[in-house]
Amino acid sequence: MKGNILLIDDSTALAESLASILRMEDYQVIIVSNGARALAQIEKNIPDLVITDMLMPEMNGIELIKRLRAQERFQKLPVIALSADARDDRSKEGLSAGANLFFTKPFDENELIEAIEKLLIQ
Amino acid sequence: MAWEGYFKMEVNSIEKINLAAHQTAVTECSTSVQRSDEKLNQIISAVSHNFKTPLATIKLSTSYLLKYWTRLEPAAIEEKLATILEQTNNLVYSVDSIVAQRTAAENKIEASKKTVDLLSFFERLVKSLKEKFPHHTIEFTNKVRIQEIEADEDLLQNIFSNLIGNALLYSPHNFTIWLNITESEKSIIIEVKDCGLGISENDLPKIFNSFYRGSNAEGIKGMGLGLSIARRAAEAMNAKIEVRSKPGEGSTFTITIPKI
Repeated sequence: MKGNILLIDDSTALAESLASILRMEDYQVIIVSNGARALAQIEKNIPDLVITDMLMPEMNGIELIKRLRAQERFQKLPVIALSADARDDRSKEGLSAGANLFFTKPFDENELIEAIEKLLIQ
Repeated sequence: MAWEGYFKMEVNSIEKINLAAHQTAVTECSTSVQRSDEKLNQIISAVSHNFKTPLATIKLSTSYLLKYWTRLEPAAIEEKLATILEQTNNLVYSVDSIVAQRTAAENKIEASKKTVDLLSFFERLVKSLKEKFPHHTIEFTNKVRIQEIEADEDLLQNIFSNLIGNALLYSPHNFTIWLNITESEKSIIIEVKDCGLGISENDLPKIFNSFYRGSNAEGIKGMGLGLSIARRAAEAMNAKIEVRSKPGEGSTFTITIPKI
């Protein structure tokens, strides 16, 4: 097993499709549907990497990343942000909140897998 | 000299009036451009979210099938094919909504009235919405004596699937949505009530504008087209939609449909 990934997206269909690929690539994946649930899950079990959507009910991706980065122990936790919003300001917002990388949907899964591998090596 | 001075003064004041008029026109034009920009941003954002997420899902599912085909069980293949079909249907629905909005905006919606059995219409609608939103409760009460009205069933379907669908989307799980039908001498009055997020005072006058999404709608799926189309559909049947709402307390949409 290459690593534990926490995948956060309110679109169950998208999350399941991405998780299927990541599992085939030998990652263990847990899916939750918003930032608040992600924080609770991270408290229980710290993942090796987080992939989060930006726009979600209850707590969005930006808020989640800010809350993670506000805690010393999660400052180096690799975070990849995903968004369906292709505007530049959305990606800047994600990166300035503390995401390591930003991908716009629909993305190339091979590029995402490559990025995950690099972030986990670092 | 006196005349010269008089003309100079006149010319100056005419110039000032013209300048003031130009400034007003420029300010109005600039405000209008800003509004158009805001509207365009809303449209881009709505279209981005409603198209790119299903597209991403289709792309990922297709790549998964192509890449790992030989390692997959038939059930896993079937599941991904079903996902692709479902997401394609979502895209078709989004395209249809945009086309319907254009048709509505150009006042091209025409009501084709026929006799509609209200009770069976709403029972069917409630049943299909309950299947889509299994975590909510829909309470349906019917207090009308007449069971049949003259209306366009497709337009009714559009109006109430939008209104009840919104009530469900904007209410947390396990919340109840009320659908009450009453009547006056000349009209059938249908209330769709929820205790969900509610609508702010600022958003309330704009909710029937196309592509407008409320300030508390972040993270909730939609393009901001449903209410705009529903209002046009109601107008085509000489019906009207009114709304009362308070943030945090929920919303009540009242639809008044003439009996004849």
